[in-house]
Amino acid sequence: MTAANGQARDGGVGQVFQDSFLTGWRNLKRIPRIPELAIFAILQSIMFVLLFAYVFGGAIPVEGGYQTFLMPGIFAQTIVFAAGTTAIGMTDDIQKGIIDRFRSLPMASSAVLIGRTFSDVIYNAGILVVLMLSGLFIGWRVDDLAALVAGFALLMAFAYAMTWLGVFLGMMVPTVEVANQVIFTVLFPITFLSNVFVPLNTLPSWLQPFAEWNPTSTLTAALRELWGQANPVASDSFAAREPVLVTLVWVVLFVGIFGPLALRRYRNLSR
Amino acid sequence: MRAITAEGLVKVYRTRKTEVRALDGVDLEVEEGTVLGLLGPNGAGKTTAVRILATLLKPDAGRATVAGYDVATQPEAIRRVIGLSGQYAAVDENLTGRENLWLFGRLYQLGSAEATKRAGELLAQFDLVDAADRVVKTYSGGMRRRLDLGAALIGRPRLLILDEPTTGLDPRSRIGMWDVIRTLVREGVTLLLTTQYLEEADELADSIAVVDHGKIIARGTADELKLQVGGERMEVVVHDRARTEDAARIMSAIGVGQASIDEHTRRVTVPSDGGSKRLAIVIRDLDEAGILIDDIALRRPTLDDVFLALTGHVAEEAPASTTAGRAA
Amino acid sequence: MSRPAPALRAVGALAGYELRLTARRGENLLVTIVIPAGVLLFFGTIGVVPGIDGRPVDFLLPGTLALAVIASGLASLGIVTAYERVYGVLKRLGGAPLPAWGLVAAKLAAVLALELVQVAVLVAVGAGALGWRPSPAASLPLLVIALVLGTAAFAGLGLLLAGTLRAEATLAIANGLFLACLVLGGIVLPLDQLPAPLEAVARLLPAGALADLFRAALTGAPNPVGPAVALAAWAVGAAALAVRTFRWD
Repeated sequence: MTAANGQARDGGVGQVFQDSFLTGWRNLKRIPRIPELAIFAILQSIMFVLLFAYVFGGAIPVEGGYQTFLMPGIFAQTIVFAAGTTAIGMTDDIQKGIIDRFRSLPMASSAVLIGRTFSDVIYNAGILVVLMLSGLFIGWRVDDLAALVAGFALLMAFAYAMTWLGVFLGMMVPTVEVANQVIFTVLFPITFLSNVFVPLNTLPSWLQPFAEWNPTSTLTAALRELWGQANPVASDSFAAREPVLVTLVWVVLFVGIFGPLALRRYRNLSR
Repeated sequence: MRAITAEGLVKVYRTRKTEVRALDGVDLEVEEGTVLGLLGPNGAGKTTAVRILATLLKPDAGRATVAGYDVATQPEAIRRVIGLSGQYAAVDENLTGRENLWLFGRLYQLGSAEATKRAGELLAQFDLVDAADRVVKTYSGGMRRRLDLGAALIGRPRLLILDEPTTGLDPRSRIGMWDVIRTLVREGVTLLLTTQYLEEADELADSIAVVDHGKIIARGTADELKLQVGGERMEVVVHDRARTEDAARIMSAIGVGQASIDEHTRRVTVPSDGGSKRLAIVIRDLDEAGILIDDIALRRPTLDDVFLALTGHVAEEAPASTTAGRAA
Repeated sequence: MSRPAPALRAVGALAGYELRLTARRGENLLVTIVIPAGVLLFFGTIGVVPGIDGRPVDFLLPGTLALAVIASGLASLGIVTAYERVYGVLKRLGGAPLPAWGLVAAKLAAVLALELVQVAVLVAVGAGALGWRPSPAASLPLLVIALVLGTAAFAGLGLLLAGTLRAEATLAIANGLFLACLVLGGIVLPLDQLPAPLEAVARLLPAGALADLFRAALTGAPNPVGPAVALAAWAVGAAALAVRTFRWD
């Protein structure tokens, strides 16, 4: 490389790491400058707590109280919607030409996606902390600190899986509006047809197998199990017996499928 | 050495129903240290050509080299020597001007201190020092374009690709942008420029390639292109809109070739080879026919005339693309 | 030259264009239909609505009709228009020889057409899956009035957001308001089941009025005059404010 190019360095792992860090830094830097996004992500979850606490609060008897039952589900739902934040951010970057700018630079091509997924996990960790603090106000408690940390870590692993789904979806849709609509259409059913708001055994029986293996359900069930809460099951299937393990398998599947798909799609943006 | 070569570039966009040949066999050559202007209306294929040369898009057929590297096999090497600015490669509107330049400098693989220094230089060079620490959202259109150009220059590229650098700018900002670009060219940067503005190509480019419907329909210097469409033009603004047709008929008989009519401005134009004598005849004949005129002139052909002669339509009148956001 | 005729024709043409655009945005159709239908099915199947007499579906179907109007009027129209502003489509249309009301009329026509599809789907789901039957007191004219007033109020709010805020903000706030309406709009939960302070807030929002109006239309139960007046007031207020503040670029 000539001196005019500045100090050119070797590519490889070091460059991937550094370029990912830089694009991630850029994503995090943007968050406080568009505060509406974070605020409404939190409000959305609080809305769901309110809605379901009032609708089902008295009507559905669960051991330990409905609100204790509900909160892990709300955390899980919030993290599932992480895919939406990521998809919208990705589509926005493509539409505004930022991705083209990145692609015209001599940077590691995977760095844009790696930076995006990691910064969005950090963003969702922030949202989750705010939600957990508000959960304390309505009486949500976890006694065992180690269990709390384990649950938080599981949520973050799941968030990471969701951000890969998000970057992939974000590259498949033409505009932010479409990204928003696809996300709503896909994510709403999978959070509703789950054990987030009601125990599995109150769902119609034909729906139960789907709801039981639904990743939102296994994540919620895993949290309830880790935190020692009641989690009425519909059957004694493997998903019901080993929710933590099944959730981890979901994480591996999501990252293993959507990671390569997203990276391939990014390289094929030049088609 | 040639900074850019392209042979037979083809790019086809397919949707369910239609097939658009955005590029239909384009050949280009740009000598190092010169400015090539790609001139054409919206949707002519200019941006597609630029995206292929900037390694953002793969051609369906044909080959191209940039700075001696093949766009198909050596995109990384090309990215190290080019700077891209335009409609597409943008800056982040939620970062400050300084943050944008620093980030792009780092991703250009400059060290952190070097990127900081370079960002400071460019902010000063483009008169953005006062706005350097404001988010780009608050910038005017002209400031944003200057920052965008700064981002393209962050790695001191040998080859600069500017895609419609002044589209949407007001006349004053446009002239300011031209000055900036001229200075860069004087410093020895090779430039590929696309534009819809004939005046802009005339101002900035050493040679011009006229693009329409994915094909290059003419090339040469501005003067050569003007020669290609013959001598001077006789031009009359008819007072009464209803008489433009009559005036065109009369003027076609006096000049060489058909007179063209711009209904909107009531302007009738015809090529001529007889200097002021013919103009006198036009005045006499129109007067005899009882056609009042508001204005009359004999002028050298502009690039507008070139475009009209080559394509049968005026460049700016091509229909604007209706797709929002990412164009095909 | 007569002025009004070409303007009307232009509005007609633009309405046709908006309709085709709506139809082509398949995912738009999907989200505005799938979510209300999903909410109806979910709560209808669980069969729990606290504090009502009678069958849940009789409460939920009018509620989800209101939700459908909110989805297409506030969320969908607001978000799409906000991004049209960003892309400069609006400015181009605004520069065309067409009055501003013409643009709004064309958009509203497309929203109303979308809502007819939503009503058909929701009624089909309610009747097919949840055994809903129209009550003898049901009134088709009142249903139409509810649709029109609801569309005016929520489309007004959507355009108010789209015309004043950044597109990102409109997206976030429209999504947020949509969910707020789901909770505080008397859609799946009767307002009197909310704690008193929340109920007081909810009573002032247009979503509850629209849900009540749909309930009046389908069951003849509550008095429709109060909700209708409240909705009309929201419609006029939102429209007046939108007209004053709307920016085309």
